[in-house]
Amino acid sequence: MEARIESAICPGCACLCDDIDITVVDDRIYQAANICLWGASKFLAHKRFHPKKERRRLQQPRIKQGCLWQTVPYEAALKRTAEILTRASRPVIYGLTNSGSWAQEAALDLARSTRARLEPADLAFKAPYYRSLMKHGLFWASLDVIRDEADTVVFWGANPLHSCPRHVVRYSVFARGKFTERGLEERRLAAVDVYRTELAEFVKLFIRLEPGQEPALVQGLLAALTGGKPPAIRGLRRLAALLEEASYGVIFFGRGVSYGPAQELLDGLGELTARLNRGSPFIFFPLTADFNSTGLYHLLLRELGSPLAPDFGHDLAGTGQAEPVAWSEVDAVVVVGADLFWFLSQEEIDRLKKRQVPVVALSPFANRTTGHAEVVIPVALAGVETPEIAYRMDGLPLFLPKIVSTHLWSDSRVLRELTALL
Amino acid sequence: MGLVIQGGIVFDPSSNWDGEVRDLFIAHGRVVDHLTEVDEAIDARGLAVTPAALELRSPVAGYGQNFLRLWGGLPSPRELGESYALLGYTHIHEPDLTLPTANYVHRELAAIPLMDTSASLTLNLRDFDIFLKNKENLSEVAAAWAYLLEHCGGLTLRVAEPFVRYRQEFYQHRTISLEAVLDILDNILHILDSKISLEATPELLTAGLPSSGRFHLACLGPALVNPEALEKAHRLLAAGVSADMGLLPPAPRSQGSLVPLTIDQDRFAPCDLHGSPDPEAPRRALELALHCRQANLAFSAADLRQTPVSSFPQLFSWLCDHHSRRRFWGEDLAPCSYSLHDWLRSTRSLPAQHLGLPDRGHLRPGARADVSIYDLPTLSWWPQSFNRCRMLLKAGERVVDNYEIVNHTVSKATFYRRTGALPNHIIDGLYAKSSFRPGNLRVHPNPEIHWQKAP
Amino acid sequence: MPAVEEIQEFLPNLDCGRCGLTCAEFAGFLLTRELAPEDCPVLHEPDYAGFIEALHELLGQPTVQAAAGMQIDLEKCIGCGICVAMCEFHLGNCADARLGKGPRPQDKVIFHIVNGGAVVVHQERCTRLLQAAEKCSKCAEYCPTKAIVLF
Ligand code: SF4
Ligand code: SF4
Ligand code: SF4
Ligand code: SF4
Repeated sequence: MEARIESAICPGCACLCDDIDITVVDDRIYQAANICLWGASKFLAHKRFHPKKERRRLQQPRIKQGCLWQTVPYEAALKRTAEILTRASRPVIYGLTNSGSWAQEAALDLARSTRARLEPADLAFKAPYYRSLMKHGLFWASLDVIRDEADTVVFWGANPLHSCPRHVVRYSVFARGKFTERGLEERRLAAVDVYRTELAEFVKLFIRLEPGQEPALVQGLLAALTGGKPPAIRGLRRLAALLEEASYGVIFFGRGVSYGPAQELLDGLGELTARLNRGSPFIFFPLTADFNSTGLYHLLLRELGSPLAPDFGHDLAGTGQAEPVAWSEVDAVVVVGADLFWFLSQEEIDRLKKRQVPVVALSPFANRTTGHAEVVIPVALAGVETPEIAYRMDGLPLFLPKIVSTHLWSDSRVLRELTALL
Repeated sequence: MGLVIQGGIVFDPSSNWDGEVRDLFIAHGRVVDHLTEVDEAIDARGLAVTPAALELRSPVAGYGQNFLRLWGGLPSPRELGESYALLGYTHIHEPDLTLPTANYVHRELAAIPLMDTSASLTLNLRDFDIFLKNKENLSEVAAAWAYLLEHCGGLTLRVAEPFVRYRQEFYQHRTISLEAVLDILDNILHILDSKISLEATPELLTAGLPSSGRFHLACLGPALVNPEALEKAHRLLAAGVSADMGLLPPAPRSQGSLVPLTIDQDRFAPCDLHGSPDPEAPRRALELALHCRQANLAFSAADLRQTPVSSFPQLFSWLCDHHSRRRFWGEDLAPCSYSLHDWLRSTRSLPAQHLGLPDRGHLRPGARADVSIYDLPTLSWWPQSFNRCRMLLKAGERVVDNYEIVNHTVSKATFYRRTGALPNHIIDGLYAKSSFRPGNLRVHPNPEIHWQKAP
Repeated sequence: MPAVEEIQEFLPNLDCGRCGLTCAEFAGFLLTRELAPEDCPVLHEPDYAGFIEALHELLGQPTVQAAAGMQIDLEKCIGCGICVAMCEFHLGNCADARLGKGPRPQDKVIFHIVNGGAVVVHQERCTRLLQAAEKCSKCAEYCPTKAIVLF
């Protein structure tokens, strides 16, 4: 049985490319056209051409009995999770940036009812961004408008070719838009990073900084724009000129910025964009990688009035926490749509294990977290095996229909039934 | 299931009931002429029974509005829905929905409990400029708009910028003046046999409107930037143009700390949601509203930030009570105030008319049983008691009882206009330019949304 | 190149016929790459976890897809589609590619992205073949991973 599905949506990253043409044979995806390699590794649970990228799917829930794994039905895994959450006094629900909107809504309900903290996986990246917006304001547009209008594009600490590979083609660099009919030739491009990235292949002005030099560059740019005397950083003057001459500009910043002193840097970039905005439109745009991170912050902002991490245990819901959670206080973790143990330092992992903090992992794939978890609950691939809603990085939601079937539960179902159990 | 609201003092301006005592029969969610068998009776003796209110302009779901919450002070969707219900509303209308943002807007609206929702499809005339210039194309443009309206789940049409202008010099030849656009719009609306709402601006007030009665002037308040604008607005209203007030408070709150929040939706002028209006505009808006009580002028508030639903009681009191005006503004502003009849007309009958919902805003047989019931004190002045709805029925179901929400999950619908139009080459062109494939621009089969065709 | 026997070690050897063949025949088709390990439904059962990967390792990968005038190294290619958007031929023949969208199945293209890698479908449309080799090299020029080699 062969079926063709046109215009499917790839849940590989926040580009949410919606032009994926799929051939399904016997209820599994055999071929996907227009999908990038990054998306393929998520989309094609079974791939023909790049087997080394194939990730192992989890098939059945399992729980740890002593030091042995035991395969159990979903109900038993949920029951164990409920016990863990009832016993915990500082539970954290972590991740969710790679979950659909329905799962995120369910997780928010679960966090409320267990008085947990909800920790978005990319909080360290987004919290400073939102705080910078509060100080300096925001000019915002959809990616379509950016494609049509932006003649000046800066990538700051961002390598779209790794985090969202088709971004440059679809929206920011190569695509021809309404007022950018010649595409690449019509855009003035710059990139700022601490090491050379593939962007250097087509970005004319590539400024390579020493680690920690970023805030100095931002301050230097501000100085240059206001007629002051900037420090001597290679490329600074050219970048300042490029920004100043823009008739419509975007600064896409990536995760690179959260490795240094993020708040200082993002405040600076926010101020810089606000300053540039006095001349012509300038957009300060986070290059979100995880496919529905935008949906999560949108949900938090809408429901709680703050895009920061809500902490229902401290009665602070509504204001939200910008600082990453202190793992030393946490006594239970539910991980959804993220690989927690991949982000944590070895030291942090060791401490969690030493304190025997129970970890529950909901994941379609085996990863580091599932390897350490006390309860592992396999879930269907959102947007492939179960329908979901996801927000493109510019905040426009898309409906991702189901493409192939599975016996696995969706993460939203797991979370909802868990909330009902409690 | 038969329900009777017994002995209430019924006010319904569009039926010319001005405080007559009568029984209201309800079956299957609608008002009916008579019932032989009644299962339940609500004793409404001494209470004011009115049609439930409809909010004509509730910019809570537009693209970018959510960012306003970054600066705090805005209600959550749940608080929004409940505040509206407690004031006696059952329907809110988002003015700004576009082809790329349709899914966004409907999702935001779906998150607001209790309220029925609808939205205006805001047309960007720049998308159609080359077709607008040639009269022969207008019927195709009309067909394209009809298609888009249904396709995006919109209820009414709206234009925020009734002109075609470009920032880019090499596009200058595509400019179309405001006057020319009004003329073209009139033609298209004639083909569609439809109305459209235009965002009021000083420029538009000066230009005036074609007299076809197909135009609605939305949100007058912020457009009243000088006495001339006020004068023009007066004249338009006197000529019978339909409009809504766009009331706003005098000094925008916490002005100093506001940083810009600008959303670019591919229009000529990106919109600053934190923008501060002319300091005199609020007074002019109120003056205009007071003087034009009898005009075709519906109640509306300017925006989500300056006039959240929690400020409605204050806005109402300015309209209805000259004491409260004197207390707040230091003067009367106009010799007359809104009577209960005027107020009900501007919050019920006229909004329902503008939205094209014939079974709302009145209580004649056939109307949907959306009824708000208020205390009618004999001693104190009426406006105060109308800030708290004693009981609210939505399609015959009790939502508010004894001043409290009693049903948090009452069913809600999204109203859209079915036009049956098919996509044509203009639509194909729009799709081709979008970064989305057409199939994914379709409004989601979202299980959270209960679609309902507007009658 | 592994022998059929070696491959059979990683097949269920049930000869259940669900793939329409016997296991030995199946192994033969694996060698010629007309079938892939995933085509054996039995191997997807939990009991055989890891077998598919092992087979792939055994079989090795075709790294270079050769076509006259142009080679795409699938080891390097990340499927970003820059080449598709920048190709001189697509510019005039595929409106979607111009705008950065993926071409439709029916669109006239030289190559497109399949399963995360660039695949040539109509080499003969390439300007280099139609006119002269020095006329165009856009696809290779902008490829960020230098996966395209023109000759
Ligand atoms: S860019 Fe992102 S959404 Fe697009 S195909 Fe690649 S992984 Fe999928
Ligand atoms: S399905 Fe698998 S086990 Fe059965 S005959 Fe084919 S190769 Fe052998
Ligand atoms: S540009 Fe290079 S990396 Fe990108 S798809 Fe083409 S060949 Fe692959
Ligand atoms: S050489 Fe030119 S025409 Fe040929 S595939 Fe590359 S870009 Fe296209």
